[in-house]
Amino acid sequence: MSPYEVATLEAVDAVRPSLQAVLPAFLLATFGIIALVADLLERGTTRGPAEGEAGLSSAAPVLSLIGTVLAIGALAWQALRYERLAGTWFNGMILIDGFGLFVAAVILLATLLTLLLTVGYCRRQNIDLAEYYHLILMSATGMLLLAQSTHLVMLFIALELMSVSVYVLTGFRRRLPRSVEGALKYFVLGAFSTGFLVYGIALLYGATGTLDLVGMAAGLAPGEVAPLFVTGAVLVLIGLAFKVALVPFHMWSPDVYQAAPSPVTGFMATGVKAAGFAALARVVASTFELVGGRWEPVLWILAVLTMFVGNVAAIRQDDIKRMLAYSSIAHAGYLLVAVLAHSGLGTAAFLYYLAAYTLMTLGAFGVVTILSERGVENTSISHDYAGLGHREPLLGAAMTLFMFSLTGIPPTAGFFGKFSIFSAAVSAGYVLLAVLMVIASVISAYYYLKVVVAMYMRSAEREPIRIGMTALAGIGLLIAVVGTLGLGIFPGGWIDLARASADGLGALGSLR
Amino acid sequence: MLLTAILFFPVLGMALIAGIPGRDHGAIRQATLAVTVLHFLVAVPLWWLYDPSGEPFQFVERVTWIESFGIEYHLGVDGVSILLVLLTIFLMPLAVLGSWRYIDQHVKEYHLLMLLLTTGMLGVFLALDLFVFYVFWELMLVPMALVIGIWGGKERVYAAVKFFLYTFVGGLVMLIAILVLYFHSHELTGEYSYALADLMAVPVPAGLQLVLFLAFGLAFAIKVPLFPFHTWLPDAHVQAPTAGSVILAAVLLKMGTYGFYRFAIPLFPDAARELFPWIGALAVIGVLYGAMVALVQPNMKKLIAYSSVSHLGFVMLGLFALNATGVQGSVIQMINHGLSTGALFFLCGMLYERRHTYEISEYGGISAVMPIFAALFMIVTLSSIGLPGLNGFVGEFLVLAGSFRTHPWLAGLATVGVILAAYYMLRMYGRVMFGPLEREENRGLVDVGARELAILLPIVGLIFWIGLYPRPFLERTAPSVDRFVERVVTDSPGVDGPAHPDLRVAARKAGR
Repeated sequence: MSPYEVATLEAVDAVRPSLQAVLPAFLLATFGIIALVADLLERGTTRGPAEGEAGLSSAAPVLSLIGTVLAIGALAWQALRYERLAGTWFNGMILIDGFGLFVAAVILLATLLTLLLTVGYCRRQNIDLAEYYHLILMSATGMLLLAQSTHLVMLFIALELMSVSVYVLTGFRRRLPRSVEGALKYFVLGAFSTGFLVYGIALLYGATGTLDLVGMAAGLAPGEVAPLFVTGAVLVLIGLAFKVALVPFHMWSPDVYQAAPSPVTGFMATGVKAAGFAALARVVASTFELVGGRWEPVLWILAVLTMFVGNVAAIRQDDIKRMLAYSSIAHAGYLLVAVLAHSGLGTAAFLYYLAAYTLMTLGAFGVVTILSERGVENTSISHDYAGLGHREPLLGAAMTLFMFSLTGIPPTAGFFGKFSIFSAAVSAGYVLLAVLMVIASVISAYYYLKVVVAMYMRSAEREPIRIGMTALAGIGLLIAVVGTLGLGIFPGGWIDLARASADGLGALGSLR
Repeated sequence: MLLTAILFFPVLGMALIAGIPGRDHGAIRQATLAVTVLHFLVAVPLWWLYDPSGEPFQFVERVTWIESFGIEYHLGVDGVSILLVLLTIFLMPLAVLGSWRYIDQHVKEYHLLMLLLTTGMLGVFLALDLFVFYVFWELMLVPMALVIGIWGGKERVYAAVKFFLYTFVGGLVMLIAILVLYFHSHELTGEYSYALADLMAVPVPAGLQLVLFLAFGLAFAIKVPLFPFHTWLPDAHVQAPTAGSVILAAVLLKMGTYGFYRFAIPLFPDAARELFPWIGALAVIGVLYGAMVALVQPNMKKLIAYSSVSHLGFVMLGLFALNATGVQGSVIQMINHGLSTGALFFLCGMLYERRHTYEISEYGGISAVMPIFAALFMIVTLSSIGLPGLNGFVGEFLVLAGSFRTHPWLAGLATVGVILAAYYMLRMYGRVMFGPLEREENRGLVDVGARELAILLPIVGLIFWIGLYPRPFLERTAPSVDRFVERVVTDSPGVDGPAHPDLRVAARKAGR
C-alpha cells in the first residue's frame, strides 16, 4: 500500500464518525439531488425539453419521500448510538446533543408531513416540478444543520441554505403576481436580516476571538460585560428574530405566508420556525450569562409583543392562511416564554411545544391544502369554510381538533404544550408573563373558534368544494391527528424525552 | 375500576353511535337512549355501595399519569359528588328523550357530542387531582359550546362564543393559580403533586391564599354564575336547544358551586372566611337581582334562566354560611335546582315544540287543553318555589337556617328572594295555564304523550322523594359536609391568627 493510500484511508477513517453525525442531512441532500437528476433523465426520454413547462414529475415525489423516510431512520439510528455520537464533529462544526436531535426529529416530521400533503396539491396547482421537491429537501438539509450547530459559520451557511430554498419555494406559483411579490418581499427582507446576522457574528468574533458559541465565555474576562459582545449578540438575535418572525420583525410573514403555496406555508410555519428557534435558543442559552442579565427584559418584551400583536392581528383575518400566519407569530411568542424560562423544564417545554405545534399547524395547513382546487386555494374562512363540517364530517372534525389544539383545550397536544410552558414560566418566577400568556390565549380562542363556527354553525353559500383528498394527504392528516391526540393524552413519555433531550442544551443542564 | 367504567362508558357509546350511518336518525336516537339508560344502570349501584360512615373518599383510583410532573389519574367520590354524579347520569336519558323531536338536523353529531359532554361533566365531579380536574373542566366546554352553537336559536353563535370565552378565561386563570400552588407546595415539601389531599396539607400564607382563592373563585363564579359574572347565562340558556338548557342548568352550573365546595374553599379556608361577607353579599344581590329580572321577563325561557341566577345565589349563600346546616342545605339545593329547573326547561321545550314560541303572552288557558301537562307543570313550579312537602323546601329552609346563624341580615334579605320567586313563578304559570283560551292556535294543542311522560315522571318522583323523605340524601352528604366545615373553621396549619370567633361558635352550635 502506498503512503498515499494509507493517508487516504486514514482520512476516511477520521471523517467517518463525522459523516455519521450528519447522516440524516446527508441523506436528504443526496436524495434531493437524485430527484433532480432523475427528473432530467426521465424528461429527456419521454418528453421533449420544450414541454418542460407542464412536465409533471413522477420520480421526484417518490424519491424525496424515500429520502425523508431514510433520514428519519438515520436519525433514529443516531439516537440509539447517542452515547458514541454525542459531541462535536467536523472540527467543531456539527454538534450532536439531545436538543439538536429532538429538533431534528421535529424538522423531519415537518418535512415528511409537508411532502405527504404536497403531492396532490402540486398536481392541482400545476407546479409539480422536480425542483419543488428538490428545494424542500435542500431546505430541510439546511434546517437540520442549523439545529445541530453551535459554530457561527456553520449556523450562517445552514441558515442561508434553508432560507434561499424557501425564497424560491415561496414564488413557485410564478404565474400569480401575489406569489412573486411575496417571494421578492421575503427575499429582500431576508437578505436584510442576514446582514444583521453576519454583522453580529463578526462582532462576536471580534469580542471573543472564537466562532464557537459554547467556547465564547473563555474569550471574555470572567464577570466582564463587553459592549462589543452585547452588540454582537443583539444583532445575531435580531437576525434570527426575523427568521422566526418575532414582533417587531414579523412584517413580512403574513404576506409571504399568503403568497406561498399552502404546503410550503405550512413548512415555513413549522420547519423554518423550529430550526430558527433552535438556533435562537442556543444563542440565548450560551450567551445568557455573558450579556449580564440583559436578555431577560429584552426577551420578556419581545415575548409579550409577539403574543399580543400576533393574536390581535389574527382576529381580523378572513383568509385562513393569513390567520394562521398571525397565529404562528403568536405561537412564536409562547415559545419565547419557554426560552426565557431558561431552565431544564423550560427547554423541555420548548421542545415539547415545538413538536405539538408542528403537528397541529401542519394538520391545519393540511386541511387548507386539501381544500384547494385547480388553480384556486379557497382560503376565505367565512366563504369557503362555511358549512364544511357538515359536508365533510371527517375533514371538519380534524380541523376542529387542530383549532382546539391551537387554542389549548385538553386533551390535545396544544394543551399540554401550553401547560408545560405555563409550568416553566411559573416555576421560573414569571407569573405575570404566564398571566399575560393566558390573556393572549383567550384572544386566540376567539379566532380559532371562528373557523369552527364557520364550519359548523354557518351554512354554505357557494357550490361545494371538490375535496382534493389523496391517499398520501390522508396519511399525512392521519399522522397529524393521531399525533395531536396522542401527545395530548399520553404526554408523559414525550415530555420525559424532551426533558432528557433538554439536558444537552449547553449551560442549561440543571432543573429548577 | 367502577368510577373509570362510569366515566368512560359514554365514550364507548360514542364508538357505537359512530358506526351507525348518519341518515338513520331513529337508530341513532334509540342507540343513544340505550347507552344512557345502560350507563345509569351501571352507575346507580354507587348509591348503595357508598358507605356514608366510611372513608372520606371512596372507590378511589390512583394511577400515575405523567410521572415527571407528578400528575396522577386520581378519581374518587364523597357524599356530595356522588349525588351530582348520579344526577348527571340520571338526566342524560331524559335529555336524549327531550331531543327526540327537537333535534332533526345533524342528529349523529348531536348525540356524539352529548355523550362526550357526559364524560366531561362526570370527570369534573370525579377528579381528585387538580390537573385531571382542569382537563375535564375544559373538555366539557367544547361539546357544550358546539351544542349551543349548532342546534341553538337565532343568536346561537353569539351565545356559544360568549359561553366559551367566559368559561375559558376563568379556567385559564385557575390553571395559573393551580401552578402557583403546585410550585409553592413543591418548595415546602419537595414533592411534585397535583393531588387535592397533598395540596390541602400544605400551609399557604394568608396573602397568597387570598390571591389564589380569587383566581379559583373567578373560574367558579363565572360558572355558578355569581352576580356580576352571570351575563353569559341568559344568552346561553335561551339560545340552547331544550336538552342543552337542561344540562346547562342542572349540571354545568353545579360545577361552579361544586368547585367552591371541593377546591376553592378547602384549599384556601382562611381566604374563604375572610371573603365571606363579600361573596355572601354578591350571592344575595344575585338572589334579588335574578328574581327581579325574572319578574319582568315576557319570555318563559329567559324567566327560568334568571330564576337560575336567583336560585344559585341561595346555593352560594348556604355554602358560605360555612356551617353544617347551611352547607347541607346548599348541597341538597344543588340537586333540587337540577331537578326542578331541568324539568322547567323540559316543560318549556314541550310547549315550544307545539307552538314554536317562548313568549308568555302567546299562551293562556292551556290547562283546558293539556290537563296532565298542567298538573305536572304545577308540581314542578311549586317545587321550584319551595313549597313544603316538595324538594325545594328542604334545601331552601336549611340554607336560610344555616346562614341566619352567621349572617342574619343576609339571610333576611335572601328571604325576600323566596317571596319574589313565588310571585314570578306563579304569575307565569297563571298566565300560561289559566285564563280564557283566547288564541285559536292553542285550542288544538295535544296533551303530553308517553315520551314526554317518561321524561317528566321520573323527575317528579324525585321531587316528591326528596321533599317527603330527604333522609337518605342527607345521610349520605352529612359526613362529607361535616368534614368540609371542620376543615374551614379550623385554622390551616402554619398560619397565624385564629379563625373568626363568631364563625367558630356558630359552627359549633350548628354542628350535629
